[in-house]
Amino acid sequence: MRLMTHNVLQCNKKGVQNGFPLIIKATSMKYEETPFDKSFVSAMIPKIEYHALLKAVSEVQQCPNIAGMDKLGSLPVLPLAMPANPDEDEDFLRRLHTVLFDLSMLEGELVCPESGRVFPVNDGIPNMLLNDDEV
Amino acid sequence: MGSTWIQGYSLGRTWRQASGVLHRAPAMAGDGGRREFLVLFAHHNMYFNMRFQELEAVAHLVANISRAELYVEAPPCALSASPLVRVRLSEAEARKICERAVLVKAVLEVWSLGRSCAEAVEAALGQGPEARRQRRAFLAPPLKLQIRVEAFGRTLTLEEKGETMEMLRPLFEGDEVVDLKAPETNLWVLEEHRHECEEKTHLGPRKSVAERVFIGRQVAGGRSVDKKIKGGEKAYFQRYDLSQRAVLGPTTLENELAFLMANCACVQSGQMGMDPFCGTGGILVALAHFGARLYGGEIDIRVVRGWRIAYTKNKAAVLDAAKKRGLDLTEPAEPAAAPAETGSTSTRTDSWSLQYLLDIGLPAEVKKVKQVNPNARAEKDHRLTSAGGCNIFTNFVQYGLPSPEVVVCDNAMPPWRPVPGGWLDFIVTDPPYGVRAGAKKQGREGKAVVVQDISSYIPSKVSYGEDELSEDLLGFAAASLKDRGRIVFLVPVDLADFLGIDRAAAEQGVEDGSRPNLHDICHPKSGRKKDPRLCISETTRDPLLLDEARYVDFIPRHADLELLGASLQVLSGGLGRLLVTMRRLPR
Repeated sequence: MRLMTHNVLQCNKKGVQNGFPLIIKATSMKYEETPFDKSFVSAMIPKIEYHALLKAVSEVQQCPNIAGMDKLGSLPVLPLAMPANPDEDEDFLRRLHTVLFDLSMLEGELVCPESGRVFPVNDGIPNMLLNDDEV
Repeated sequence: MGSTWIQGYSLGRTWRQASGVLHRAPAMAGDGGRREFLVLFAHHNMYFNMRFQELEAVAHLVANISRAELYVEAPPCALSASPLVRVRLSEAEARKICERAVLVKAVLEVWSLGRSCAEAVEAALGQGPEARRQRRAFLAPPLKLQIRVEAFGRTLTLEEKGETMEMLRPLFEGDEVVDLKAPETNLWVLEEHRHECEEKTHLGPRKSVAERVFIGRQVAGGRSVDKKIKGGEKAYFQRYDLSQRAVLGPTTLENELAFLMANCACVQSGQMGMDPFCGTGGILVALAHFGARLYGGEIDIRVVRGWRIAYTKNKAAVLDAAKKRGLDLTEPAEPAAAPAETGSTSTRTDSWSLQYLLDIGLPAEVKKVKQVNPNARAEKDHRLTSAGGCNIFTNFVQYGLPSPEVVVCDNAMPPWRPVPGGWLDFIVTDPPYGVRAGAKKQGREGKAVVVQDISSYIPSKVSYGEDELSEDLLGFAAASLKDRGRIVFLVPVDLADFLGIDRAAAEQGVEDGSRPNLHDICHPKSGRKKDPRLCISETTRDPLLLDEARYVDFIPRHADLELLGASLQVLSGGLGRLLVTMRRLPR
């Protein structure tokens, strides 16, 4: 599960008003470089929740095991607020690309911030199914 | 010759007038030098009815041309039986359409038209020396050429083809060079005969005479036309053939239809899309081929992970894919001397029996007994299990495509956050309607149970009605598609409804007066009466079935989605399915 996917997932348990963003508790992650496409990344900007993304990056830093991290060095640092003209800031777009598309969660849990419902992630596939008493 | 010498042209102008503009240099600026071409469709046994829907979508994609601008005549309707349609395009656009479309066989520049081949040749000669000089530019040595003779509505014998080619002689100077292997110019002679359903034999009614004959030069060839030239591969979608695919699900969509749907959705590189019912990713593979970034949703974790229900025919591809992913492929401890065929047969039998249980709709409890813990019960060849890399991502490794993002989720309770203005460019999906694979959503019938161990608990599912499913799907599409984003999906239909046959009365005996659901129709009780009216040929041209007005009522609707097109594929057993394209209206 890439962080882009995390940015659009929410807890849909019955009664939960604000199930976004899910808290990342990763035990295993992976860095894999993908080709940078400037126009695609800038098209993502209106779709993402930037603060949720910042939170996700700080949660990813807690992960003990990120495969391929030696190639990346360190996690890219995103500015605390979106730059004024993000479309023209290629350095920012490259960092955003790395965070959104190159980092993916392999094993761990996603936790609903409101209800505490835990959604497991195995082999990079989050299981968002609810139990029959939760729908 | 009078102005009504060829029937079938409804706009009241003769071909002669129309063909006068064929060789004129493009006059209008801004249209990219568009002129008239003839699109020749493949006579596809299964998807022939979908040809206009695909052509319009691909034309929109590669040329940004609307339906009204595309056709020279009135837009064709679903009842049209002709594999030919006249369009207005530029030569470059025609080539792009040929490269992309699944059902387009070739695009031709028409040189002349007549009711018979002799008449067409005469018409070409009658165009004068200037037209002859322009034709000569494509025929004169050192260019090499070949002539193809094809007929629709009947089969030509070799002798007849030879006679037809002989008739073309006046068009040539005599020094032209023929090369069937690598011709620069392809000349076509197309004979169109009336579609005679009644007297049709497997060779077609041999006595019928042509209604119109086209002579033209091929501008671009798609599908299998150029296979001799391009060294074997018939078309780009051929390499995704299911017989060679590493991992298959119980109802993996046929690859040509998957590409057809991707074309209807105008999928292109740099877009983001989703298949909310992805299964083993048959549609996602087609979408990924065009460079889109993809999400897949699937409720059944067994399919996604490749546990039991997914199976493989092409073991070599699975092992190759696993190797590419750097997975451990050490041989299992027991001697692996058994021939590969034995292993795969047993695997298939197992998945068939499980599929059978699913098909007959056994309750979840029974299925749970069959569903063995995949870790405890490894397959005979452990290299083909999930651990060995046999899951939804395997096919993407096999084809060298980027992996999609897969989320196990329920269409009835989508876990996606609302994004203002939408976030998906397209949705392409083949939802389970309970016909071949049961449609399920989360829930429990009867009283609630106390969950002892949440980690190993598999939530119960209840069946998911067709209407509810499509309502949820269109609701999700309206919320998540960007403005003008497309959704392409399949809807099963019961052809008895089209023909006004009461299936409940005819087959099941009226028990409670209710209409049987699609599952009951596909899996009838033994000894049912088979209505002969429902033994429908899959290539029928019956207007009672094909008329667009017949099926518009069966297409689910949503206030924010406009219907762009729908076409019917007739299946066996009196069933059919509709390919539906819809577009999100601007917010």
